[in-house]
Amino acid sequence: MREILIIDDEEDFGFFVKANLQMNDEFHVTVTTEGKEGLKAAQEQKPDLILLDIMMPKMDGLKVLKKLKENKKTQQIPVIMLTAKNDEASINDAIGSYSEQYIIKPIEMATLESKIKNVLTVQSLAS
Amino acid sequence: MGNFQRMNFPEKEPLASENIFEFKKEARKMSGKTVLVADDDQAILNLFYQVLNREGHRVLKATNGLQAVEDVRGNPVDIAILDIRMPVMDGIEVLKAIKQIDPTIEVLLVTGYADIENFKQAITSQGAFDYILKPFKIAEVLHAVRNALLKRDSLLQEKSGNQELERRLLQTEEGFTERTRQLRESQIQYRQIIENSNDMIMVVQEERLQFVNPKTTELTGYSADELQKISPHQIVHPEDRPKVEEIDARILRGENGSPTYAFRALRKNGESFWVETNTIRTRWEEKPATIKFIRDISERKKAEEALRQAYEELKDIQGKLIQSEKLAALGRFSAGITHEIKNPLSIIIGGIDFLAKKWSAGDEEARVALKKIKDAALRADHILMGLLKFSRPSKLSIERINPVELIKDTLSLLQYRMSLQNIQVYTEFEAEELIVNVDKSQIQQVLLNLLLNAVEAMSGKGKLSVQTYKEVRSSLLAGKTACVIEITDTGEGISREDLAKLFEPFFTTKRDSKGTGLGLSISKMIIDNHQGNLMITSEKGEGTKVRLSLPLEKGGYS
Repeated sequence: MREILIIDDEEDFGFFVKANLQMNDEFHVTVTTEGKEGLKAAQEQKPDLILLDIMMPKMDGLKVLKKLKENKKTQQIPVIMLTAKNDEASINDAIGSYSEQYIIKPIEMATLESKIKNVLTVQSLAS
Repeated sequence: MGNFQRMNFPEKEPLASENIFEFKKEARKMSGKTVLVADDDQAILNLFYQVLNREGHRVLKATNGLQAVEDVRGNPVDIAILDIRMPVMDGIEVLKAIKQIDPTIEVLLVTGYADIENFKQAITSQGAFDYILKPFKIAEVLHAVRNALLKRDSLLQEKSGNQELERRLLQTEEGFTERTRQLRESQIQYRQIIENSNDMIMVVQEERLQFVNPKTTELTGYSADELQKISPHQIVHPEDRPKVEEIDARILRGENGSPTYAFRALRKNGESFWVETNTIRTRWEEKPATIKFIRDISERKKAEEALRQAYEELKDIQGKLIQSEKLAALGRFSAGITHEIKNPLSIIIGGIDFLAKKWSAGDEEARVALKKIKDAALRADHILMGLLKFSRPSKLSIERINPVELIKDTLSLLQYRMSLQNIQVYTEFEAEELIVNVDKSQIQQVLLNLLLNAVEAMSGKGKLSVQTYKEVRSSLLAGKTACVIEITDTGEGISREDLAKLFEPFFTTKRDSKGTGLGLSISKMIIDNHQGNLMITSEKGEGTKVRLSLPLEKGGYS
């Protein structure tokens, strides 16, 4: 069972992602709806992968990402960024070298799931 | 003047009382005159002198005729009393001489009874006033002198009246001469005005030019002689002749005053030029005619045309500005709203995926329903993706490219689809290598969009041709060169109403959800961002031509 952490202020989006991913008992998903809470959960639970939304109130996804990558406890965790923007150039500029992947919302669950699996495979090969 | 009057003296000497009174009265009236008396007899001279001097007259005495004539020449003399028999010059001769000098001087001749018959004729014919017979009585002399003076007075008055008449006559004559001079002067002035006029001035009568000014020969290229031989219509452009003839006929009939109108005039060398005419009715040599004042307005027409062109271009630019302003507004709007919509959409899609999995073994109808809901959500997302392109800052990553290569690449992307539809492709590329500096992926997006539109417009078979060429623009507002890409299809074409809305965001004729209505407006925006131009011409049922121009690297329009 792989551990997935969602940090997204859209609670219902997290709800359906969780419901979809947990359907086949391959993943266990934790949903948080803001940056601080997400960082805390990341440190405590050491998830296998984090789905992190960029546009959030209070602490936005880019700040959260920076903190994750600066903390030794969490910097190895792969992060897939979620965004409602589809301007590749500005997304790349924003996340720079920190993140491996990004996903533009909305996304079909099958696509999301295969993307998560791909990232996890790459991660396990690398380690 | 040879008027002669014999005074009838009374046979008897009048009574002293009544006569003296009368004489004194008359003498007072007639005093102060100059009387010349000529007689070779000194005693008679003295007598005359005393009598006349006493009457208040100035008396000149001459002892011979010659002296008498000299006295008349040298003095203002009123009357002369001449003895007929005198040495050197007799009285008759002196009379003649005096009348020549001043015909108003009245002359009394003095003669004896014995001579009177001899001289009567001469006296009468030479214009003497009267004669005094010797021996005379003083009263007789005074009487004759008085009458002579009266006669002279009336003569002088008559003369001065005549002089007045003459003066007036002269004045009238002078006035007439002055008027003639003025008339001639104004004629010369008018002539100068007509000959130096910057307008053509001509008199037309019975299909002939009766008069033309130098400007007419200058502007038409015909000589004055030639112009008098040709029909006036020959200097009017054939297409404008009916109009000119009709208006001229109306003016000749006296209708419509003198309307000013423009037409094209024709030079001898066949060149036409715009003129404006003002025609009036007149009479020329007693017959009806028209005078035409014709002004060369070709410069004005040129300026008007340039102004109209500039106006059209400004309107065009304004249209483009409005369009791009609309797009910019849409961009700002969509940037704000798309995120807000994309998040709920992602929830909807996540929810549908969840439900579909849950019911995977269940109801087929429910599965179809979920599929339809998901398709609709994805379409909404597709539209949002398009909208977001407007909100993107127009950061172009510019490269030097040959558009021909880009066209070939894009065509190859559509090859399969076109072969399915049995579409024949024709290409004709400019031999010279045309290089443009553009954002390759954006231009490819445009080309793909335009080619796809062309393919979709041809439901079945069809011909698609793509052509490139170099264009030199010679516009008032933009010059220089461009690479033009023309895409022509034989599809269904676009109606006039649709053509006007083509670049409006969300305008689409693709009913079956194939289009978002953003393809052309995005393409337009991309081309505008490249300082290019996108133009579509089409007619329903006749196919469509898309003309895309991009500034060339060298000498492109800036």
